[in-house]
This record gives sequence, structure tokens and C-alpha cells, in this order.
Amino acid sequence: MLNNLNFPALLAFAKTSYKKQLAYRIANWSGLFTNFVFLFIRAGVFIACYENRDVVAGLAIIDTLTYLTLTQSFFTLMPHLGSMGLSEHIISGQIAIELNRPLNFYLIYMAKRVGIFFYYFMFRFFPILIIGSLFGLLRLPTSFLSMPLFFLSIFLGFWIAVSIMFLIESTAFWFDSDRGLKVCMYGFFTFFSGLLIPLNYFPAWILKITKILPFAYTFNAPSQIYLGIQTNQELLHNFIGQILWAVVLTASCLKILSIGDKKVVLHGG
Amino acid sequence: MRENISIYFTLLKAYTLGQMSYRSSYLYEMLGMAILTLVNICGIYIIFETFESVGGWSFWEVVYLYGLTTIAMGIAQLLASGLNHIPEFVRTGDFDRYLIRPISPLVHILPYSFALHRVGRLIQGVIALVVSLYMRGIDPGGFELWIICSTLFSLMIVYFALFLIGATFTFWTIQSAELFNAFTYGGMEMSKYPVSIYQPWLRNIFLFIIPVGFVSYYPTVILFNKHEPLNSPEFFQYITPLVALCFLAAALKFWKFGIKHYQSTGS
Amino acid sequence: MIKVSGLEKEFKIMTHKSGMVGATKNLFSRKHTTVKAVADVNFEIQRGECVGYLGPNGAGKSTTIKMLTGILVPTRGSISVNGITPFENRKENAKQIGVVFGQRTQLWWDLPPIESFDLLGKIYKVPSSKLKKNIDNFIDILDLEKFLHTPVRKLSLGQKMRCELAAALLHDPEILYLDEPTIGLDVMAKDSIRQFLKKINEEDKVTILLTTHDLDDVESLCKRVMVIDNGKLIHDDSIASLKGRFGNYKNLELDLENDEEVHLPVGCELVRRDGKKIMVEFNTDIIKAPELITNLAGKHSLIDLSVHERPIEEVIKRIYQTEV
Repeated sequence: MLNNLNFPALLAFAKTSYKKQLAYRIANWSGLFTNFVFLFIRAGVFIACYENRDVVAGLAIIDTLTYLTLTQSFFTLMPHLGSMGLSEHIISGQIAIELNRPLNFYLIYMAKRVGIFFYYFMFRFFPILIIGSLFGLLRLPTSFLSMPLFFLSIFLGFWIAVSIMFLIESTAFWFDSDRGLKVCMYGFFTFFSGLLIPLNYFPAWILKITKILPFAYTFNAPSQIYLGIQTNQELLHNFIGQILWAVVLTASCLKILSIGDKKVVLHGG
Repeated sequence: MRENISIYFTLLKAYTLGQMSYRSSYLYEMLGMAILTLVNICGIYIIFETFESVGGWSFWEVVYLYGLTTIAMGIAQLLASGLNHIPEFVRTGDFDRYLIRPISPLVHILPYSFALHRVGRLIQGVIALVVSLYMRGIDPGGFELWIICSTLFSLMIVYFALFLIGATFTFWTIQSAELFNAFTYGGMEMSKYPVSIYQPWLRNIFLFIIPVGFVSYYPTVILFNKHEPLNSPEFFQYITPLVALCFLAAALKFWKFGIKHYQSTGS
Repeated sequence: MIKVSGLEKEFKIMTHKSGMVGATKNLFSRKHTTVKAVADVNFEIQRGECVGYLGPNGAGKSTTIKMLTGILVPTRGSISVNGITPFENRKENAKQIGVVFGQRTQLWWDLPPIESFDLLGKIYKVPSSKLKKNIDNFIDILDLEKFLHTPVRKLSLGQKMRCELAAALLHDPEILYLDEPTIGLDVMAKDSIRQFLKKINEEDKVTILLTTHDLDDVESLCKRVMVIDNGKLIHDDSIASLKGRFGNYKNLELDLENDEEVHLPVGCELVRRDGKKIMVEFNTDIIKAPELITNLAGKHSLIDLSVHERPIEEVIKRIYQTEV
């Protein structure tokens, strides 16, 4: 099946997906507004914390604000809690048709997500960074040389996040609804990815746990590259972690899809 | 008024009975909510471990605020569940049905899709509230109880009024109230910390325009006997229910205005 | 009882520009065009009347009904329903009217009809003994027993409509507004609903205003018919006068023995031809039926023929086509 990587077809899926998102212009600007409301409030808390301090846990206030802005914008690249199209298909039975296509469903699925990713990358991620820096919430990256790595890291983080969601949605093959699991995972995700509080502030013992879980390799890794505060060794560790998790999760998704496929064939969807 | 309340509960009973099919996924959702609460409190904990105090407030005092806002928001969301459907009803013209009955359309639509399983969030808020009060050493005598209850009441009213305002806007936009709800949920986010810590421009928005900060902060200042750095007039601390009710009155007026607009433009 | 005078309703429609440039322009300047959905409509309906309200789609029927029920506020003019102005006293007016929308339900979707009835009884503050009496009565007349406890979403269209009618009348309203009540129903269902409406109109003196596209509804129920077109009321009189207004026409159906060309005398028009079957419309003021038959029988060999009243559909079509 992997021999079957029909790139032109996948590209076409991505393009269509991107075009579909273009129609949601108003929702996008509303979402952008919401992003900033939350960003200002979260920033406010840290600004107050830093009132009499310069540097805490290696971060000056501008570093923290930059981290907050970055994670806020990364968050828009992430799939939402709503259905992404897998659990829906399984519950409706549509999955039986989808699994019989000549191209692997996971690949098509990811291609579509990439299209959406590209949309939000252009129309949310960048605007947040630009507007954020206008408001003094974002500083320039420490090193422009690390920028290619930065973007690659973002893409890997996106891939990991989507794959996790895919795995959760695939539980619909065996359970009634995936919503409960999603909500459970959402809490862990926001905490361990640095979305709630920059991971730099975490006590050492919690950090040990975060290094084992995949969540930190979604948003934290690229944020650290941008900030350039951690040592090169730590940044490399993050990056390798991202690649490893991306591979493991992709393999898991493919595996679970083929198991689910067998179930559909046996039980008729 | 009493009539409206009785109609509301009658409709509510009908809606919830219709939804009685208990799903196991609800249990997971409640668990998920519990995890989210836990995670949020861990977040607060980490901040206090790192910074020791925020704006002069201690860890348990902030957890109290968290509990307060979670409970108030939880109740407001339960109450306002029907409002989410207004854009859809306006678009399909189904909203007409609410204007043909001899009861207030607001009371008629509120119980729609009441989500009983969201009660889980409330419970966590209560736990956070109770534990924080205990740890902070507050003995709930009559006076303290009165403050806590009136704060909860006022905050819930303000959140509900905000949902109402957001829903009223959809009479014009027809799309979801997401834009305005940024303020509603933003207000919730903001009220997790004492409003005094925010910068003046942000602070003033949530004190005097969207009074979430006003009704949650001042009574809590009295409760914990905090030093009040804003030098606000003293009477602020006693008028929070009044502020909440005035805000609600304004929201209701806006709602009526929204209905009038619907009546002149149709669907 | 229902008094409408000088009723007008204008809607502002935004002229939408498309494309990126257009959409941006829309943000800065709003160009409106004003559409008159209802223009200077006047009528009076007395207690116990059953009036049909006809008109092409978009003519202003629903708009009129919405103003009568208090959903919409008129731009100009006045409405008085038993002395109450609907859009000013919406709740008071609601107590004296019942409404059935053919396309939308007034019932609670997930609940069985009986529960909807109970809820409505509480909403309209119907005394429980009266409510029980009415419910039992409707169960009987409309034959609701079998599905009284089935959730509304599982009912067939015909079953649902019978429940809607019961629901609309639980609080004994004096006036019943019906918006396309028989749409999508089969012949049996339509018939039973018409019987029911006839009964409540004749026996209980419920005033009925009925919009419909089904002209059989109108013919079987209404003595009076109002026709609206482009917002204006172009006819308000009996059905007979409606038919007569556009000439006295009849239809002649012929079965020819041979497939041959037919020459029609003056006053006739070929409506339809299907091989040897012909439908002819003729104006009885110009040529009478016996005369026409003699004429055609003299020229052609006929197997069969029949004469009908011109169907009301034709009348209406004519009205829709020719503006007055």
C-alpha cells in the first residue's frame, strides 16, 4: 500500500480541502479575534507575575509572551474537538466505502488535513504572529538560521497532533462514541504541550513525564527552536523526539486502520 | 415572573425526559471534565510554585476564584443552552414558532437541548471552591456564606446576560455568536485571577463594560480581607448583585430589540 | 372580526456584489433595494367564515399570514383581530388563534403527541378538565389513538398533520390559520383533514384562513377565496365569481377515431393533444357546448367525448399569468 503513494492525487485532495476552507472567511476572522482576546488575558497574568522579576526559569517576560503567542497560533493549526471525519464515517458506515478506495484512507485523510493546515497556516498562524509582534507580544527569533528547522518542526508537531486525534477517532470501530475519550485527551494535551503554561516553568519531576508523552513534541518543540534559549543538545533531543513520535504514530494509525478494516469486513460495517 | 419560572421548568422537564437515554460516553465526558479541572489547577499550582504570589494573592485564593467562575459559568451554560440554536432557527424560520405562543419567547427557547450531563463541570467547581475555602482557613459563618452565595449569583447572572447578548447579535449576523462569545469565555478566563493584576485597559473592560471582573473581584476582596490596590470606592464591594441585575436588564432590553428586528425583517 | 386595512410590508434587500472587490465594497456601502411583499391589502373576515388564500409563490401569502399572527410587523397599515393588534399584543393575540404550518412542526419532535398536548395545555393555561375533553374529542375525530404515544419524529406525514391540527385547537381558539396543511399528503389523508376542518368550521364556528396550492382544498372547504399576486389582492369573492371572472369556460375531451387534423370553430382553443385524444377549451359565451359538439361531430368521427367545468387550476393559472 505504501508503494501506492499517488502524490498527484494526494495533492489534489489537499488543494480541494484548502479551497473549501476559504469559504469560512468570517468564521476565521471571528476565530482570530477570539485568539487575541485569550492571548491578551493570558499575557496579562504573566505580566503581573513578572512585575518585580527579570528572568525566571531562563525566560524574560518577552520570552514568555513570545511563547504564549506561538502556542496560541500553533493551536489554530490543530484539529478541533469536533469530528475530523473518521469517527463520523465509522458510525455512519461510510467507512466501508472509504476503505475500499485504491488509495489508503489514512493518506487521503492526512492529505485533506494538510490542506486545512495550509489554510490556517496562511490565515491564522501568520496573522497572529504579525499582529502579536505589533502589540509587543512577540520578539524576533534568536537565530534566523533556525527558521527552516522551525517550520519543519511545526509541521511535525501538526502531524503528531492529527495522528493522535486519528487514533482516538478510530476507537469508534469498537466503541459507541469517541467524544468522551477526546475530552479526556484534550485536558492532557493542553497541559503537556505547553499550551496552558510554558513547559519551561514545569518542575523537574513533571518534565520527566512530559518527555515520555507525545504532547510536548507538538507545540513545545517548535516554540523552543524559535526562542533559542535551550541548549543545542536539548533542541536536538526535541527534534529527534518529534521524528520518532511522528513515525510511531503514523505506523500506529496505519495498523489500527487495517485492524478496523478487517472488523468492518467481518461484521459488515 | 413566577409564571415564567413555572413554564420554564415545565418545558425543562419535558426536554430532559426526552433525552433520558443515558450514554456511557457521558461518563467519559465527565471524566474528561475532571481531568481538565485537575490540569487547570495543576497549571495554577505551577505558577505559584514558580512565582510565589500573583498580585498579592495566594494559591488557594486563586483556586477559590477558579471554583467560583467554574460554578457560575456552568450554571449559566445550563440555563442558556437553548440560545445556541437561535442562528439555526432564524435561518430555517423555525423561530416563528416561539412568537406564536402566549409566553415569552426567551423562556420558551431556553430549555431547548438542556445538557444535563454538563453538571459534572459544576461538581468540580464546587469541590475546588470548598477545598480552597478550607485550605485558606475561611470559616463559613453567616456573613461569609452570604458573600459567597451573592458572588455566585451575580457572576452567574452576568455570564447568562453575556450569552443572551451574544445570542441577540445572531439576529443580525445569523451565524454563530462566536465573535461576542470571545468576551464571554474570555471573561471566564480572566476571572480565574483577581482582576487587579491585569493592565489598566484590559482591567477596565472587565470591570465596567463586561462586569465579570467587577462582580467576582470586589466581594472576594472582602472575603479574604485583601489589600485593595486599585483604591476603588468602598461601596463597590457591596453593590455587585445590583450591578449584575442592571447588566441583565440591559441584556434583556437588547434581546427585545433583537426580536423587534426579527419581526421587521422576517427570515 | 379580522380587519385588515392598507396593509403593506416592505423588505430591504441588500444588493449583493460578488467576488473579492464586490465583497469589500459591501463592507463600506450598503446598497438596498426595497421590495414590496404586500401592497395595500384590505379585507374583512367575519366570524365563522372559511376563506381560501391563493397566490403564486412569492406573492405575499406567507407574509400576510405572518403579519396576521404577529410574527412580522407591517410597514404600513393596520390589522385588528377581535380588536387586538397582533404585533403589538402578541401574547394576547396568541390566545385566540391557532396556527398550523404545513412545512414546520409546532410539536416537540422527540416527544409523543400526548405529551405535546399536555405541554401546550400548560402553555395556553387550558383548565385540565377542558383540556382532557378536547384531547379525547380530537383523539376520537382524528383517529389519533394508535400513535398517541409514539414520538412525533417517527410519525408519517398524515399522522403528524392530524396531531398538528389537534394541537392547534386545544385551547379553543376562535381563529385557525393554516399554511399549506395538506402538502405532501395522500388522497385519503387530505380527505380526512378536509372533513375535520369542515366540521369545526360548521359546527364550532371556527374561523379559518387557509393558504394552499391545492385547489381541491379550496373547492371543498371555502365559499370565499382571496387571490394575491405580487403583493396585491386581485380577487376577493366567491369561487364561482372567480371562475366567471375570467370568462365562462368549459373543457371538452374528445377521442377521435382517426388521427386527423382538427379545425376548431371560433371561441375554442386546443389545450392538449395526445394522438387521437384531444382536450379543447371553449368560451361558453361565444359557443355553447351542444353547438360545439354538433360542429365537431359533423366533421370528424368521434368515439367518445365528455364536457367538464374548467378546472380551477386553469383559472388560477390565467390569473397568475395576466396581471390585473
